[in-house]
Amino acid sequence: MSIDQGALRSLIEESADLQSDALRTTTRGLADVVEQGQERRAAGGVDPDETRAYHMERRHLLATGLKGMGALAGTAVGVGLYQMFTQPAFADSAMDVQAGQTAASIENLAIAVYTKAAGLPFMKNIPAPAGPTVVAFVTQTIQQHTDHAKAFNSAVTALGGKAQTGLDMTVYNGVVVPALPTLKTPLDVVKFAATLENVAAETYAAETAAVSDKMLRSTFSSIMGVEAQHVAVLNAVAALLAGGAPQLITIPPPGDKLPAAAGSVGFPNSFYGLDMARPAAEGAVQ
Amino acid sequence: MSKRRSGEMQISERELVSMTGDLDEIHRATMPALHDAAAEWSEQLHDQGVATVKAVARTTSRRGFLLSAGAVSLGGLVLAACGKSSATTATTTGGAGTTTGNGNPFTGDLAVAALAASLENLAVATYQAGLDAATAGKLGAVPPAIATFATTAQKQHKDHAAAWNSIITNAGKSAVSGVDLTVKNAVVTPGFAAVKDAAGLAKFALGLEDAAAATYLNAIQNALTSAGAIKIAATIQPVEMQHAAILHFVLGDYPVPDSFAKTDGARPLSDMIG
Repeated sequence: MSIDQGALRSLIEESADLQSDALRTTTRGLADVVEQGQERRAAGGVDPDETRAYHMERRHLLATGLKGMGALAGTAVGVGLYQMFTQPAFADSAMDVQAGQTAASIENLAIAVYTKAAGLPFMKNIPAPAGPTVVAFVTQTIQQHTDHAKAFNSAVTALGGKAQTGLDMTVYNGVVVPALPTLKTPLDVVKFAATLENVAAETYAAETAAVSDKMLRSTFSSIMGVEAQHVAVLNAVAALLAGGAPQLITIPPPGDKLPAAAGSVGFPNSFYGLDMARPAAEGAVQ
Repeated sequence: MSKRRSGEMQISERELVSMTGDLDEIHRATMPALHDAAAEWSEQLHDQGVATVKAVARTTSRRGFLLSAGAVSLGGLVLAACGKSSATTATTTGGAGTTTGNGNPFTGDLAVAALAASLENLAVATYQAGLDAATAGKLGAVPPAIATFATTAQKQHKDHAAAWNSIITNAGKSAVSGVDLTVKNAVVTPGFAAVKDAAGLAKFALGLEDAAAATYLNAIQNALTSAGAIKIAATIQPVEMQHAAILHFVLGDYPVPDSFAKTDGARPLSDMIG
């Protein structure tokens, strides 16, 4: 059972072409972000009631989200940190700009984590066909997160904000740094990556309903499902690694040899959760 | 990691199932957010006087929320290249207060809910048709993973239909038990007849999942106006995309083909429901 690298590359190239089409659509949408933002500012900016309701909801989400995130990552999230996060946003810019900057910071963090993980010795030595398949996935996923970061930053700058080139330091310091030393196997890495992807997907799903700018909403909504797809793939890969069947991690998979549960392990919920959504201001440019 | 490697099938079904053993608990954990969204939307509908709301969704039990799917009837299935599919069409008909013809008796966000419910019903019916065909041996050997996929995806589509119908019934309207007839007649019925094997079924299902995801995305971006409605759609669209990712994988395609989700193939509000 060997992976057809040529076919895999071809598939990735095809997907790159397809995503370029989608990127053009999003880029067109970004032009409207400018107009929408300008209109909102011309109308007096953010509605105080809307902002208050927004932050109340985000605090509620976060109250449960951090607990879940800490448990998933196997790291401690201190009480002080928890209380700090559940306070109203501390940044002073418009909430849509903050949300876009936070999204960019999450994307930047994902890129950094994938890049770091790919360099770990045990990740470089996964036997074929799983090894090359995982490498191809990581490479393509980094590119997609790069596209996402650009899209969010384009939206932010179009709204008059400053592009976020840094990381979400709250997640980095509170979750990533403590977790990195615990990553000992490919399975550890895959499960941790799935957690971060879930954070991204849930944050964007929450922001899709929370932001007021129509086209910023379009940006969030066009990305949330892609992160969820990353989660589905990582869940499936993790299950196969945990089950001692790395030889089944290939494209295409040997369908007749996949265990029944492999058909459902990638998408455990009927409805995507919002509990791990990050606060809108967490990754805002200070 | 691979200490038990030896035969063709080292992985244990029990191991995989145990990994997913918390699924019900996880699923339950996602419900509060959905209830909040439903309540928010219902309250807005009440405030707008759109309907005679008997009670807000906050009082809706989870049992009632999910079991309303039991009223959903079956129908047909998928879509992929239906020539009439158009995000633009939906955009022009989806604004609040707009009315739709062709069997969709609702207006505004409720019209989107009805379209979504009809698509979910169609998905449920099509997966059932696929499972029935597989059971009858009409598709040849069906890998167990594909059978599990179909069963799980079908259940989730039932849940989605129930979510939309809970909003509709809380607005004092009758639940949508029919399917998207436009898609069924133009795509599903003729397309399903051509399905001869498991790969064909997976490809057919992919078209349906892509269309559902595109319809939700289009609704979020261009049609829905209530934050609660947007939130519900935002918790469903990623799940449809996950279905698509696994189907891509099974079919030998790269599982995450695009950096950005697309509205191509989104169903318009003018689709017939019945």
